[in-house]
Amino acid sequence: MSLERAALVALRIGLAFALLYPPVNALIDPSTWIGYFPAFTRGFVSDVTLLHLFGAAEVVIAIWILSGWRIFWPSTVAAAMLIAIVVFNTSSFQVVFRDVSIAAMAIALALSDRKTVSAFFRLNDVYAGR
Amino acid sequence: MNNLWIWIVVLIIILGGGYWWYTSSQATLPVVNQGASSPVGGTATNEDEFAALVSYTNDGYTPATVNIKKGETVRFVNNSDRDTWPASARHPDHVVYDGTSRTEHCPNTDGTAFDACRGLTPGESWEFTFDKVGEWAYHDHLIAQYFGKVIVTE
Repeated sequence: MSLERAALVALRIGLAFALLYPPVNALIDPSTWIGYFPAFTRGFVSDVTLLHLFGAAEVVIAIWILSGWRIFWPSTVAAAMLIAIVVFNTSSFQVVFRDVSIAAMAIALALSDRKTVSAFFRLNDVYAGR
Repeated sequence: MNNLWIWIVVLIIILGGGYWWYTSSQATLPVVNQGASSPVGGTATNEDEFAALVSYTNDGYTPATVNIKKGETVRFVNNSDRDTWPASARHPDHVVYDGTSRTEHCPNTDGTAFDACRGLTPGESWEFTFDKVGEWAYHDHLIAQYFGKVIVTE
């Protein structure tokens, strides 16, 4: 395994762990995690249902990231989720500041998928008429 | 492509910083000396039992900051249509006021922890007596984006 590939595997494991721990811990201590959901997401379903639906999505994304297949997409979704968590929980920045770093890891992983990234931006160029 | 990513990062920083500034200014502007304040929403019954009243609505805590003297009591009233769980910073461990974490001090039977330790249902109130001087930030454990501060002086 090349050093570059080893680095990407380490990034994938780290990012996947950050996505897997909350839904697993939420099974034991849901009140710790429900507080991070902003007010506008509440009231459509019960808090527990919301928590576990989001948790299921996190598990899917984590497994996808671990698989390494088309890493651009799950990493981009993970980065967006992490940035959203920070933006909507600035009052807890002493805790969620780490999410900024993890989001940067996710962006690094997304950019490592050169094939998808280049295809994605070529497509944008075509749409933009360039 | 490089320029695009730079602009995306700049946009995120601007939006995030703006939101942060907005929420911070909302939280610190309404500094109110309540004294024996009037009940909000008609839920509280005895004004003499507390020095300040904080109402929790669907938009958060009002006033966001209250000033009291050491040994005085703040009453938190849930005037929203959902549960609220007032507790000391920091989310989620609530360790700042008394140095113990939520798992250590709840259910808070001796009343020394600044932590309701449960969700207050709509219309319900909860009181806490502050025996420590300082600026005590708190939040809603169930929606942590809502927060406030109790300033306790000698």
